[in-house]
Formats: sequence, structure tokens, C-alpha cells
Amino acid sequence: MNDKLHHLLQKWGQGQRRMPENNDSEKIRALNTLHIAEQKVAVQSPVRIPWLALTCTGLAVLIFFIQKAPSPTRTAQVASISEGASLKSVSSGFNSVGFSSGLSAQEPSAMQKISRNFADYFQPTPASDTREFLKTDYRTTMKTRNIETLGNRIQTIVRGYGGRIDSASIQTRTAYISFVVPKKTFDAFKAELKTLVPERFMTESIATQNLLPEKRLIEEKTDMMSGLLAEHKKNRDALEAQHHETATALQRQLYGVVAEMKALRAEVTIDPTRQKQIATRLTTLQSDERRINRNLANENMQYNSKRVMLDAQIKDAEDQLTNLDTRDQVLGNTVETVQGSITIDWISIPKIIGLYMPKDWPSLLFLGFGIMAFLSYRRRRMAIKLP
Amino acid sequence: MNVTFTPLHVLSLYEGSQLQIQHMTTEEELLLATRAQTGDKEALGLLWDAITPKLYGYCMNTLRDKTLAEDVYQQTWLKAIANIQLFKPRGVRFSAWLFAIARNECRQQWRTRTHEPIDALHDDLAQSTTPRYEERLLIENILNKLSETEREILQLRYIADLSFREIASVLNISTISARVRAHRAIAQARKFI
Repeated sequence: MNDKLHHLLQKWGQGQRRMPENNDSEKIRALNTLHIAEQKVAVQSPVRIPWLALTCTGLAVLIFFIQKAPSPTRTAQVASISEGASLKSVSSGFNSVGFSSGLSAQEPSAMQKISRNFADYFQPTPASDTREFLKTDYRTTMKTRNIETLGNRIQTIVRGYGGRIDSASIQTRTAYISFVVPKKTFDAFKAELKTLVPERFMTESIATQNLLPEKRLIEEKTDMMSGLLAEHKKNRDALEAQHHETATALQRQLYGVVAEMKALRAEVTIDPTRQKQIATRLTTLQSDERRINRNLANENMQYNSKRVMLDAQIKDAEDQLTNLDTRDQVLGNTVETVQGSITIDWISIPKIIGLYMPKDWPSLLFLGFGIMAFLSYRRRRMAIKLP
Repeated sequence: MNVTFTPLHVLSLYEGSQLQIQHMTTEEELLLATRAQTGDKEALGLLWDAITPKLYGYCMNTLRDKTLAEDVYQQTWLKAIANIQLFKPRGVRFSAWLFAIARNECRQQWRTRTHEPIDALHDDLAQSTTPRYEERLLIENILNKLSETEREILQLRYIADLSFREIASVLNISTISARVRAHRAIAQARKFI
């Protein structure tokens, strides 16, 4: 149908074309006027440059590259942040493994201890251990026109989800709230936060880290300390038994000497020979009594010294176990909770507009102006100039 | 004057009073126009022979008055020749420039003269043997039902044989607009068949 109509129109158009009756005479008359045109000075219109289009396009390119160019200040900040982060991670590593043995006599130097603990901490975790102890950090930045209302509302929400506020600072143009919420309510908490501001007004980051190396370290240290404690207790028991046996033997000897001395002194005789024998024997027994008392004193002293040392070792091991248990509880709490912070920034109307525009909207805007200006210029340039 | 583009690309075959013109390419027409701008009467004559049937047909179909159409086509040619240096070959043919002048002249005629146009259809039919009477009558009836804008774009497309770009230049609109208007006009015409 379309082709048929097109064909009909073409035939109609061709049918409309015809020469006028007085064509030849008019043609000659018209051609004769050409010599006048020949003598006319051709009006050379100057080449017009589309300055507006070029300016707009140039501005678009300029703005584009300015936006893309990295800011030196920003780069320096990033560098300092990364440096600080690495220092922090090392120090936290030391903190987490900084267990003291409490044995000053056997203790290695501080640097040796740190390096050993450091190496322990960074021991690779075997792949067979698939346990997860995830520590979750939540960071979000919100933009709003009403800082105070939003800040108060967030604090209420944190408490409503069983969390606690660690710090809150609300000012006219900015606010900062750090908090802890239980992990089991974290998803619901996060979903409610998202209802507070439009999606474009909020950026969030969630970082999780498996604390399995620390957990394994605590477990290994606990096993080691438990073994050490049992060994110390066993040594103490052995010391006590040995001391008891030695002391008993010495006391038995002493009792024998004292009893013999008592018996000799009680003996009444007028025989000079016997009296001489008793005197000689008493002298020998007194000498034995002094020796045995001396030995007993030495034994007691050695026992006490060793007992004190073993008690100190046992106490230190027990303290270490208590410390490890505390650390284990802290790790458990860390895994069961989410630490987070919310930064609230005031936003201006132009920035709100910017949120809904493409990232390079200024350059795109100028590019659009440039294209429009060029199209306008081209249209004006291509327009037929009528006499 | 040495004309290098011969043999003539404009073939005139007279059938009674009707002239059939072989299509002249844009380059050929621009070459002739350039030569005419330097005072080459032969080139201008060739342009005259190639364009006048279309131009006169356009004026006739637009004004519906033989006398008026003759006046307008003459005025168009005289203005064009007198100001031929103004023609700048910027992607459009010399004929497009000429039709822009003719359109302007026709509009001026419509504004200044108030008499009723004489329907030239019957005169046309009497002079013509092809195409057939029924087909032409059908098209004329359809065109009469179209708006002025739609009719004008079909005249420029099918009588003046202009491209969409040239029509856009004549009507001072964008090429896309010209294309859309033409399609709309044809779609509208199809409804009246």
C-alpha cells in the first residue's frame, strides 16, 4: 500500500513537471541578465567560527580533566591513613599476644618475647580448621538537612535493638555516633537505618575479619599454660613428699638421740667406769643432735625456698589462664557484637542536586551546551540565504 | 566556454509540451552552478532546462494559477540570477536554493493577491497523456484533503524531487523533522485512499 502510494505520488510529481509556454523567450531574457551578475562583486562572507560551541566544549573538557585529576591533599591523606593503619595493626598484634610468663629467672628478653609472640600470632592457620569467628565493623555516612533529629533518632534505634552508645557528638553541621549492637539484631538494625534517608544520601561499609588466628592462639596458650600448671603442681607435690620423708627421717634420728641421752642421764651408777662411758656417750650424742638439727634446718630452708618458687610459678600460670579466659570471653563478645560508627553530614541543596545527577554532570552540561550551540551554528550556516 | 561535463546529463525528451528531465546529480548541478557564478551562460542554460519544469510545476501546483505561476517562476529565476553569488553550495543543490526563493515568492503572492485561484487540474489533464486520469484525480483529491504543510512537503518531495536534507533547508527545519513530516503526510494521505 505504501509502495503503491509512493509510486502514485512519483507519477503525479513527474506529471506536474512541464515547461512553460514562453520558456525559450524567458530563458533568453533571463540569461541575458547574467552579465550584470557577473560584474557584481561577490560578497565574501567571513568564515564564522562557532565560538560559543568551542568555548562550551573546551570548558567541558577542562572541567572533566579537573575532576579526574587526583588532588595532592587527598593523596597525602590516603598515604597517611594507610601508614597509620599498618602501625595500628602491628601494635594490635603485639597487644593480642603480649602474655607475660611471670618467671623472671627464666624469662627471655622483652624483644625475644615480642618476636616470638609475633611469629606465633602470624602462624598460618591450617586449611582444615574451617571455624569462623567473624568480627564485624560497620561504618556509614549519612547526609541530611536536619542533623540533630537524625542523630537522636539513630541513638534511639541503637538502644531499641539492644545496643549501646559508646560515644555521640552532635553539632550543627556534623554528628558522629559510635555504637555496639548485638550481631543477631544487626541486619534488622541496618535495614531500619536505611529507611532514615534516601539511598543516595547514605554510604555504608561493612568489614568482617575472621579472628580464628587469635582464637587458635588463645587455645594453644591455654593448653600450654594448663600443662605448665599441672607440671608445677606435680613438682610441688613431689617436693612436699620428699621434704616430708627427709624431715621425718631426721626427726626420727633426733628422737632416738634425745631418748638415748635422756636414758643415759637418768641412769644412776657409782661405777666410775660406767660413769665415764656414759659421759663419753653423751658427748657423742650431743654432737649427733647438733648435726641432725642442722640438717633438719637446712632441709626446711631448702624446702621453703623451692616451695615459694613453685607457688609463684603456679600462681603465674593460674593468672595466665585467667587472662586467657578473659581474652576468650572478649573475643566471644567481639564475635557476637557489631561495632559501628555513623557519621552524619549536613548537605546543601546544590549537593543534593549533584547526588541525582551523573558524576560528571558539569562537564556533561557544558558538552550539551556545546553540542546545542554547534547544531544551532550548523543550522544557521546551512540555512539557505534568500536574495 | 569550455564545458567539460558533456555529454549532457540533462536529457530533454519532448512529449508534446511535456518535458522529461533525466535526474541530475548533486555534483553535476553544483558544478554547473559554480560555472554559472563565474558568468557561464551555457551552464546556466543547462540549469534552466533541468530545473524549470520542476519549478514551474511546483508554482502551478502551489498557486493553481497559470499566469501567477509564470510570473513567480520568472521572478524566481531573475532573482536567482541577479543574486547568484549568494548561493553557497553547502550540501544542497542549486535547485534547492531556487525552490527556497520560489517558495518565498509564492508566499508573497498569497499575501498580496486576494483573488481565488483557478484550479489548473483540468488544464493539466488536458495537456497530459500520462499518467492516467484516474490516478491523478485520486492524488489531487487526496492532496486537497491534506493540510498546507503536508501538501507543501509532498510537493517539494515529488514535484521538486528534493532530498529530505534539501527540503529541510528550504523549510528551515532539521532533516529529521523533514523526514518525519513527510512520513506523517504520506500516512495521512494513505487514510484518504
